[in-house]
Amino acid sequence: MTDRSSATTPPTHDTHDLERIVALAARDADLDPTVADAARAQVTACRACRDLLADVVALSAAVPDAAIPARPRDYTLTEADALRLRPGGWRRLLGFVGSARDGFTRPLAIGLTTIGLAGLLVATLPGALGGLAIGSGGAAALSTVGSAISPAAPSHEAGSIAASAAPALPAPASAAAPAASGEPPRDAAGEGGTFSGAGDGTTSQRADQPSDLAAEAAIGEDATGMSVLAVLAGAILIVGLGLFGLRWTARRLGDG
Amino acid sequence: MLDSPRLTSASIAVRRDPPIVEDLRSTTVPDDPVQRRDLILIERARTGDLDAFNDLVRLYQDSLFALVVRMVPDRDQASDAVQEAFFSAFRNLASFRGGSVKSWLNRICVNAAMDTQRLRKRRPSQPYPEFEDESWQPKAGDDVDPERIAVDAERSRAIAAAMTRITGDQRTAIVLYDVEGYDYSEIAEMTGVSLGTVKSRIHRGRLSLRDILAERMELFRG
Repeated sequence: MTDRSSATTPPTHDTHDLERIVALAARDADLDPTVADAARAQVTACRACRDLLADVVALSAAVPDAAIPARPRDYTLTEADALRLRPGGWRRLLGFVGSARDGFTRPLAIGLTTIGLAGLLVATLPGALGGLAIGSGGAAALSTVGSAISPAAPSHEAGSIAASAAPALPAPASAAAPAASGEPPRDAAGEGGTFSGAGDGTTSQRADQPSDLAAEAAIGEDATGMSVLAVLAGAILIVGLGLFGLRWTARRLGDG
Repeated sequence: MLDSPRLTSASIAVRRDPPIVEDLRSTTVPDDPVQRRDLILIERARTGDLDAFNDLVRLYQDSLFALVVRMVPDRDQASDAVQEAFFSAFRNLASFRGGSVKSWLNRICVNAAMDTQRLRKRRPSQPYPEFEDESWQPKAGDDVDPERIAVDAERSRAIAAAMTRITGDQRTAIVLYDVEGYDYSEIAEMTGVSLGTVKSRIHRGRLSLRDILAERMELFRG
């Protein structure tokens, strides 16, 4: 206990940082040395701070001795309780997922999430990956092929190709519609690449096979214009994240 | 209970052989006999042995009730929270991930107590209406001096009453730190807040306690 008689309380006590004193009383191991020194100086100079330090130490020691009521009942479980509480069905599954014995769902969740993220990256960054993506993919690849066949083809021919393909092509409507109206069609990435055919018969050969074109485009995009790869990757990512969520929930339930 | 024939030293010795259990973390037989006993009971309870689980309940119900009733200043609500915690422990035996059974049960009880505190915030009840109740048991020391016993009892009641007047968060942090002996980081993890928040709750809680008990500090000095 501190000597209460020899200290004085300066009028500035109200401005003293009392939490600093409490931290000093707690003997925090990670208490900043400068803060600790300041607190000690405060305690030395101010009687009220010294009293506070002594009181907080005394109270901390007294807390474990606080009166507690007697336990009012016995908490042992009856057979009926056990029957009611025994996990069955999905709870049993959840219990397994959260347990340490489950060495399967974590790697699976990591794998699915990684594949999903990678798939989304591939689908959304086709240029960066050299057009490997089917994704925006589908139309972009086709436009690349078309350009390679005839870089100098007149644009009105492209319109005719698109127009003839349009009835069989519900998916890339955004690309086909402007082409049919004579405007240069845009690829799915919106880069304005033209879909041009050759005037030496290649065009008619392609135009004669609209079903091939439709099939290729269908691989690349669904009715909403989204890449199949992106949809698939998104679904895998969701499943992976869902597994993480399931594990987290199971572990939370495990801790009550 | 532990005196039962099921828990003889022979059965514990048998368990020293590599046990066939799936949880790798619980296969390492701890040196601490209490922990070893608890793990045996948990393994048995996991296989459906209700008596083994009830042995655990009997072993820990007093300390767990003491922990929860310090956090939830209403005996009935604290009692319900402890019962719910044991139900939860039984339901989730499979998810016990090894380590200390006492810590696992403590954590479940702390969660149950915090749930009850949240409920109390929405539907507050009168704290400690039973203070005049004789079931309140201040710790009796070895000292037989009647005056000393009376002072201890008074101090014990005073601190208990003051604890009910600080916020639930501060109370939880102080109980876990001063009574249960957890460190700041453990409390932060258990209560889901940052280390700084835990320290702040403890420090402010202590300041509040001191303010509440300002007129009665002589009980605690010397």
